[in-house]
Amino acid sequence: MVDLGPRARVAFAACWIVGQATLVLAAATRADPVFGFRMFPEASTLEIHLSREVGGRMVPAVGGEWSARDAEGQLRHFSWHDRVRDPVLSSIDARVFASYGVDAQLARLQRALDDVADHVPEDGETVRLQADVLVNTNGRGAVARTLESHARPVR
Amino acid sequence: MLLLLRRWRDEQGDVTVLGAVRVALGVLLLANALRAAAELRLGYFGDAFHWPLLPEALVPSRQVYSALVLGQLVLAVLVVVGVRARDALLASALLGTYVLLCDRLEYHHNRWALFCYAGLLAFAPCDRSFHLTRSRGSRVGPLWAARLAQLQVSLIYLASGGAKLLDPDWRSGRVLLERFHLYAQTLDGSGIHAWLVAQVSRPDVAALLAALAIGTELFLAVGLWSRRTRVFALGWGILFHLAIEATSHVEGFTWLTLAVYALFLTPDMRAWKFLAATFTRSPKAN
Repeated sequence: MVDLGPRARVAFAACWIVGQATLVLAAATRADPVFGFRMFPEASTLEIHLSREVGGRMVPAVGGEWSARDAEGQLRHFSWHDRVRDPVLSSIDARVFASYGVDAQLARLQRALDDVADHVPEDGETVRLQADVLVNTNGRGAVARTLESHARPVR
Repeated sequence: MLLLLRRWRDEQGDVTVLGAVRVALGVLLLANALRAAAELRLGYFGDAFHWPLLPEALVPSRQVYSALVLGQLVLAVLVVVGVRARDALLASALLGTYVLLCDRLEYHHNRWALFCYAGLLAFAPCDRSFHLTRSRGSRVGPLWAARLAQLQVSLIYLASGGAKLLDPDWRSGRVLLERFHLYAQTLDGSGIHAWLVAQVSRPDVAALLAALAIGTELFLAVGLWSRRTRVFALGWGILFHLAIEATSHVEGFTWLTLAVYALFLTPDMRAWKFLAATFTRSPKAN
């Protein structure tokens, strides 16, 4: 199965080299540079603070934990960590190293916010989740960035 | 150019070393599968936030994923012991790539590199040595796939060194300097380790080390191929990767790269004589 004839060797090698080169060059165009072999791209840190929009105001979700009433008025507990297990994204209110760079982690965080917003159907109060992120890119000093989940229907 | 292409396509040579590389890749595939199994015991990735490159419908269920991890374990063992090793290598590469495509949060360069090398080595006669079963086939065989794996080594160095060269923060040493600062914060502030980190945590030293790192990666991309520079490149590359291993968590990338370095070893007596002479030469008299 894995012994190729002379012509197939050339075709395989051509496809392999072109494929790899494309993946490496295209990595620069993606926020999350998978398949790009860009080792140690940055020495940046993130500090994520989570909050949620309730009745038009922002309420902190300290440590990624919060309580909210469901549609029946029952008080329930919710945790960011029930859905997010990634070591960088699950570190709330703590400074962590931004593996693969700030852009990669912010792109992942945006997805995580939307994902969590979609997976707390019993939360009848939170309109959207918000992440206030202190970004320190290669030691330049902290810069604040804000990301929001999409809006979710509440009662 | 055509002559060079034909020479690469039809080159035959001793394939003994390919068996050793296969065993090393098998061990790393086994370690990767064991890691996946340990993570699965803590929870199936599909039950939590994940970000697939594939459509969500193609992400396996918990049962299918469990079977895939078990399959990866069995395939890795087959690779190590040399039973249907080439089929097992190819299957490991395809399965591993599929799993990477199911969650980009679990993507790591070392894992992708491992599956690339496994896929390429599957096309080389790496099952004729270092196996538990009876010897099969001649120790001389086609080397085109092994050369392609060597090219993959160069491509990785070129991609990594090129990206750093194009990045002003890397060129200036800022990235390395900040890495040292962050690393220093994890040390207790005393001892030789902390003293060493303090010495390199200076802008001028960091800039010099950054230039050295970029130069090393770009040099290794080409230096491993030339008979004149190969021995130095292999030695320098080993030191380079061991230094990275000592200071960073690279999950097996060091051992993977050093294993694939074996593909560059040739029974090139001139090179080994040169190496031996380098270490045994007496100082020149004036």
